[in-house]
Amino acid sequence: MTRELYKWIATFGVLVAIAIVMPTQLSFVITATLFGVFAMSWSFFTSFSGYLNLGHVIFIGLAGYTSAALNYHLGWPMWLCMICGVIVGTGGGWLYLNPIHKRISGLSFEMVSFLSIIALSNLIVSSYARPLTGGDIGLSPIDGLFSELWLAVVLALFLCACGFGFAWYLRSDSGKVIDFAREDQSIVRQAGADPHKYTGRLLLLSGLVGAIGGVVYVHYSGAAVVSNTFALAFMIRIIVMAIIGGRFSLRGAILGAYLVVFLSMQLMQYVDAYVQFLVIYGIGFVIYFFAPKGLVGIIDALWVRVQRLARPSRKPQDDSAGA
Amino acid sequence: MAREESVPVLELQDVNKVFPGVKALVDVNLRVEKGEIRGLIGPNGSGKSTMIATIMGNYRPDGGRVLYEGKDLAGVRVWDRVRRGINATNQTATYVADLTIRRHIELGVDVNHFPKEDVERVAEIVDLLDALDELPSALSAVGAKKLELGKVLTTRPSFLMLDECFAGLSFEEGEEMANIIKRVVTDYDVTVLVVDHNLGLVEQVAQVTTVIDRGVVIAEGPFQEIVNNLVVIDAYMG
Repeated sequence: MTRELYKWIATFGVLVAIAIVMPTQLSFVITATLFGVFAMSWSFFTSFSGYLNLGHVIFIGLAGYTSAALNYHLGWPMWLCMICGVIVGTGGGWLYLNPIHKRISGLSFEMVSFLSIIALSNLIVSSYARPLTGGDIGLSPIDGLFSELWLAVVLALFLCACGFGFAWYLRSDSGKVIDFAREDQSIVRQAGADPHKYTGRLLLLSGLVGAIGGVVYVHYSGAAVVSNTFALAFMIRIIVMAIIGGRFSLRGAILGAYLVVFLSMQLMQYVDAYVQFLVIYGIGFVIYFFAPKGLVGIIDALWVRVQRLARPSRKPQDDSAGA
Repeated sequence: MAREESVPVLELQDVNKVFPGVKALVDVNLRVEKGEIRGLIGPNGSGKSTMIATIMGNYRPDGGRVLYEGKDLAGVRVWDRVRRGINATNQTATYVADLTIRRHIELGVDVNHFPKEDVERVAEIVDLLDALDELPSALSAVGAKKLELGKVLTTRPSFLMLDECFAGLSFEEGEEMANIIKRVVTDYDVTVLVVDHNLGLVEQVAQVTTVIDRGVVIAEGPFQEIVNNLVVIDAYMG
């Protein structure tokens, strides 16, 4: 794990360096880091458990809306609201999704998690919930976090600490069980364990990190609205980031998040939102179609090729040389 | 003074299992005593695998009771049955192709918090010690059967069901498996239920044999007695 720790320290160094050399682009750095949190936490559960979770935004949305609602309606201090938001987001999301993942798997789980976010996003904007959620306008103004270097550094530290924690967990004895649960749950049962206990823990950890990202994102955006919490488009954006970077790679999710946010911000200056999404989703499609392991997979393959080229080729010994 | 009756390791009392249009098990009664190697034979579709799945808890019986060491297993989930000492190998070996044989054998050790030395011990018994760091896809048919047995041995079972453990093996390979099973019984103090079509190999290992046909137990006793039973001959020959 020491090597893994060094890799995450290096990743942290790169993220901080980006923040330092781009002082005028801190909003890009902070937004990209937050999407890195979302994409990595989504990928942690989906890639390693074998369940395609389309409802990850439930953690993000519940946490974000709880924090925003407490701040907006009750005027509680932002930090207290954020803590409450994380507890409600993680607990609520897990209590909702964990029994579902225990009962159904495969396409059924995908459909239920997908329909859940559609239902929830409609509930949030419905007239029943409007007094609490602000309907389609959302909850604004709320106490905000601003584009400052300390926030970028703290978020990068959080992201890398979570990445290292995830990697450590996946290499632990529990992680080894998850390797089997992902491929064939009957092998885990035959070994005397409930596979859902292990995938459920993965869901909880993934949800906790997503919920922490959710409260920070809502306060950084200055508002809780469906489009930055429960929306299907928001979920798809997170998935596309993870896919572009590389499923089964935690650092790949961060790479994907940075690339997509950077591309969005660049395209925003020239084209409308529809074309922007067309380009980004198109890139996601092409990468997933031609390189399912994403950019990390491409980089790994290139690295192997470079190593092969760099290795001195063995020439057959020339017996006559010494004669 | 009346002799106290011993509690069997496994007892099935009037167990029924029905699938749509098929009675897979009909009032099945079975007693397996501690330390016994029991053979279970029957034609294709006779209910052998359903019986194993019902004992393991993969199927819930529609009637009757499954008792393990005198305790009713109703409501006990598969993994809890494994932790209580019941386990079964699959007809077709299950493995994850890109994880080593060592990882497969380690799984039961890790999950049950047994000492890591168990990995080598089990691998030695099932004759996979030299192949621990290989991938299971490299194994031959008999190798895959050994891996399947090794996986369940790491859970330290006291009652073990071997489903079609000789299927697809040559006579020599079958004999090799039979010897491993005999060693497992000695080393692990385990009671075994051997389920197979290969009557010759079942005869080699089993002390008592039960015959099942169309979900009904039709005969039970020493192998030689069973094979001369007209009902059994009729079931096999149609």
